[in-house]
Amino acid sequence: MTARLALSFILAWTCVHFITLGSPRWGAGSRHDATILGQMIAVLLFPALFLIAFGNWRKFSGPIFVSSTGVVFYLLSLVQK
Amino acid sequence: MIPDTLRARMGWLHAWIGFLSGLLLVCVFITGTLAVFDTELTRWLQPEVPPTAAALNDTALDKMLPSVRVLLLKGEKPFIALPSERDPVLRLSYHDGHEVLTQPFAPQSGQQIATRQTVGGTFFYDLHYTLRSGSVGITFVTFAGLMLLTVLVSGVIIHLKALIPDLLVLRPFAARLRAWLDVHVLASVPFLPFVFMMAYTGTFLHTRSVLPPESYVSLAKEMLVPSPRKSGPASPDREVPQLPSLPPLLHTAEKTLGIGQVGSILFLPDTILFMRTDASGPLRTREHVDFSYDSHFVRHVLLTSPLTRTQQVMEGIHYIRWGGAGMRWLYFFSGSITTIMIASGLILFLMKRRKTSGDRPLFQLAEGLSISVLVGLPLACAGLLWGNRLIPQGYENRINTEVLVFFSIWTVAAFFGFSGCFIKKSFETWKILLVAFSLLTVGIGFLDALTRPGWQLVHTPTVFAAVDLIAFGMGLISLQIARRLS
Repeated sequence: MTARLALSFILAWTCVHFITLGSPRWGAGSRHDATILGQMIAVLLFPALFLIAFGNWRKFSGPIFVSSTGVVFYLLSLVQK
Repeated sequence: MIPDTLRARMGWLHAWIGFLSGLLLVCVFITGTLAVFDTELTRWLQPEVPPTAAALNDTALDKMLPSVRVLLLKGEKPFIALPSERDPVLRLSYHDGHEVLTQPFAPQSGQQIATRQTVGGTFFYDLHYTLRSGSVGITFVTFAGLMLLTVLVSGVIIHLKALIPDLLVLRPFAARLRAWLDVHVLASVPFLPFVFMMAYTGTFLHTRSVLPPESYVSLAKEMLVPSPRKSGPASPDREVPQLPSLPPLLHTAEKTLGIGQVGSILFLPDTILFMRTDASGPLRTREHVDFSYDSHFVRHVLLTSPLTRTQQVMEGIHYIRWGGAGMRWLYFFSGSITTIMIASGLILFLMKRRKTSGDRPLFQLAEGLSISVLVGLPLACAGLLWGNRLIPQGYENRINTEVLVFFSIWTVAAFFGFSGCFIKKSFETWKILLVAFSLLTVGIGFLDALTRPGWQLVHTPTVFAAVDLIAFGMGLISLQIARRLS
């Protein structure tokens, strides 16, 4: 359980980190507004992603879903406005 | 062996993350609940300030300028809080890095009111969000906020099937574990919207401290590069420009912000800011009209983009400075119940493991920590009120002494708690500390009567009566809990 917990936490944290990291690039409005938007989404999503990764362990569906979400947000952070 | 089902996994996570973050969160919620009434607590801690005062006279503002100048010369950023419904006097305040220190002034004459120096109610506010540790404390509290959101969602998943039926179940005389579980569920479910809202808005306020908009790698690199030395201590021959007369500037600012909408006047090195009061509405706009020291209008600052507005609403509903007394009581009540929710969760965690792990040092450490936060912290809060009234008014370094009293009591209670658990006398330890808390809180009313100038038995409801009665009630509840412990 502890290893699952650690892995789920790392995956969810990485994913929301990519959200706050990339929001100034893909968020609407000024950099300040986009950063705020990213933070709002990150705080809202972190519990959900953490619990999805930790709770859905059958065939690693939870961790795979969270990893995929993280990859999407990482790619979004590469977008040039 | 735990069955590998979703509910079991959520139960495991809820218990462990809940306990580890709960130890910090209970401190955050106790101090946050008290901070709802920070202004009122400051008034209780300065009993020499009269409960009512005459309306603001324009000349009073200018009479405060010499005191403002003294603070500017010290390199502080002083601000004048104008009289309000919550606090009828003028206050000259500044932030010393931990709390807002204030000197009250009569709004009619502008004369300083001779009163004791105190950390004031903002002590609890600072403890609530920084743990008196600056940015490090903010990081810990924000992280705990994220954990609280996780624990709340996992709790909802665990109880999803019986969420409504559980609301109607309270069995105070059932087996103790069952009774505490009922208390935990009953304190959680009806207040879920409140807890979610406070956890979300509170975490959002300082998200940057844990989830910055730049990569951790670049942040780490920045930390490794030595930063240029900051300029030395405040120079004694600091130059402060001549301060302008404030009433004309106030009236000009009111033309933009509205009559009675200026809450405070902030003095920065180059400009004077007339800030909109947080009490003006649910949006905490921080709107301000700025003037230079030679009385010229500089700018009007108001951020109005939709996202900034959303942020202002979130700050507004977290700080609740715009709500009336009724709304603040609702927050106080909800905060108290949320504290009970977390406290009962901590107790449940210990009860479930006492039989199997009661002799292990880690369990004793966990129980010692629980005693320190669940009883030690409230004991220290009550001790601060006693210290405030018993330390002589003119005592040198009075503010630091009050803080020292608070942390000394907390340290002694924690040491006592750990010792009791390690010598396997945990029940006796809980009892002794609960009774000590009862004695301190029940006695606060008597302390107030003996040490407040102009005390009278029958008077209109004031902050003094409210604090005394709430403390008395808490004392009785604590005594009842101690009596029922076995």
